[in-house]
Amino acid sequence: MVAVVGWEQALAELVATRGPALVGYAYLLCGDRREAEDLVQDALVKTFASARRGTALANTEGYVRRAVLTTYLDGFRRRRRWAAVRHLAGGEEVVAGPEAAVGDRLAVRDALAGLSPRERACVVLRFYEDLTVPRIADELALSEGAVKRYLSDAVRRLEATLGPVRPPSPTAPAADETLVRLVTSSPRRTR
Amino acid sequence: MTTQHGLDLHRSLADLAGAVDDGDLAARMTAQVGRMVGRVRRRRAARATAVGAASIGTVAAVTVGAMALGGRGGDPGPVPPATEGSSVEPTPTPEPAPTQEAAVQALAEIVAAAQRPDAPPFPECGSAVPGEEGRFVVVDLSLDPGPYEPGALLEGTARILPLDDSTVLANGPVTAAYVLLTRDGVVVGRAGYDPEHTDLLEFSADDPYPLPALGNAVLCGLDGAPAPDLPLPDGAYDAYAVVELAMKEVQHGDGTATSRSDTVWARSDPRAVEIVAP
Repeated sequence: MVAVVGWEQALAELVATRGPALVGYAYLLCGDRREAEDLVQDALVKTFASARRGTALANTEGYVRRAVLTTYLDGFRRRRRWAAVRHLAGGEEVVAGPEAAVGDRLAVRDALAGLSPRERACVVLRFYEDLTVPRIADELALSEGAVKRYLSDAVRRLEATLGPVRPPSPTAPAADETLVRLVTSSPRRTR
Repeated sequence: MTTQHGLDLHRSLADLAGAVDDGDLAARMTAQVGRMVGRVRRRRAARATAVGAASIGTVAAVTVGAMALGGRGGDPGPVPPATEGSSVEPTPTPEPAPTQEAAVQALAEIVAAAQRPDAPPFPECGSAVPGEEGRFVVVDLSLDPGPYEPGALLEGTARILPLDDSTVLANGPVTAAYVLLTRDGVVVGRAGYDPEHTDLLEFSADDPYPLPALGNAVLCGLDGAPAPDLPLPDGAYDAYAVVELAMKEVQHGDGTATSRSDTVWARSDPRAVEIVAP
């Protein structure tokens, strides 16, 4: 995924190959499918618009994921207002499947909806992205203590409805992989 | 996902993220690539235009400074030859500056672009202003008619509203509406700023969404290219305020609601402005 193929082609390829995964990631953060698609589109536009001409867009997905995260955290007021009316729009948020699985999904979705934006971001980065607490603190520009507090509060709330939550493995195979991806793709922090 | 050791949240989150794909998601996202490419181009062009407008300001300042120096004993320029038998010195015919010639030529090329088979879509540079068909959300623009100097900033106010009694929810800009300048119904100049921030807007005819409206009297760049750093030539133009709206929902006056997920460019009616070099 480099600029030599042209940024338009790189954008099209990223959308084709990783679009659903990016929307899934955004959905975990915002909890609304249509809003997740908007978040990903905004993040893609931000990422490709801010890339300097001729700059190699290696590992673009890492940039886009970061842009999804910052756009989500910057715009929670929008989502809160949209959440108040989105029931009017109708439509299934998640795809149906075996009854038990759907029940689990809905339970997890509803439990996540009870978290604050930063709590939710911490949970997604820790449990889904397998980032360490120091890396989450770096991603969110928070202290490690603040991240631990957010995680502690979030897990307590999740457990109130979902039951005991297994602690994340500090040596999960995906962790190193994800960490490398984000470290190598980290753009200069703007905030 | 729940075992005797508790809920495996990693697996549950991965399952939830994967379940968002309804089978049409990739196609839906791919269908938006063209729109995203357009947005990226506009942002890049806006950034380049902003830089160009700043450099035009610098050039203007240097020019004005040089003229002032000329009047204060600097190089007076070429002296016309004396005419025999006449006490009146002839006035040299002013020739258009090279920048103005280039601007006039670039303006003609942009206007001609609207006639091409692959003419750019509104509101890109060189696009034709669309007609009234399908116009549902509009922008009410208030803008001083000028005259403005070439390269000047045009500042007005805009209000976004539907044409009927509905209430509209749409993602749109919260910083400003673009002010486009058109010649012969073709976009030839557009704002040199980037409406980075969008938000969920809610508006109706009784409660329009207000925004500043900003534009520059600078030529735009064709085909997403950077603007050519040229001020608009002297003359009459039509100004339009435009905003890009990602529609979410229309709540009709009868209490029903329609979900929407399309993108529209809402525009104002034209406002006449005049560009005049000092």
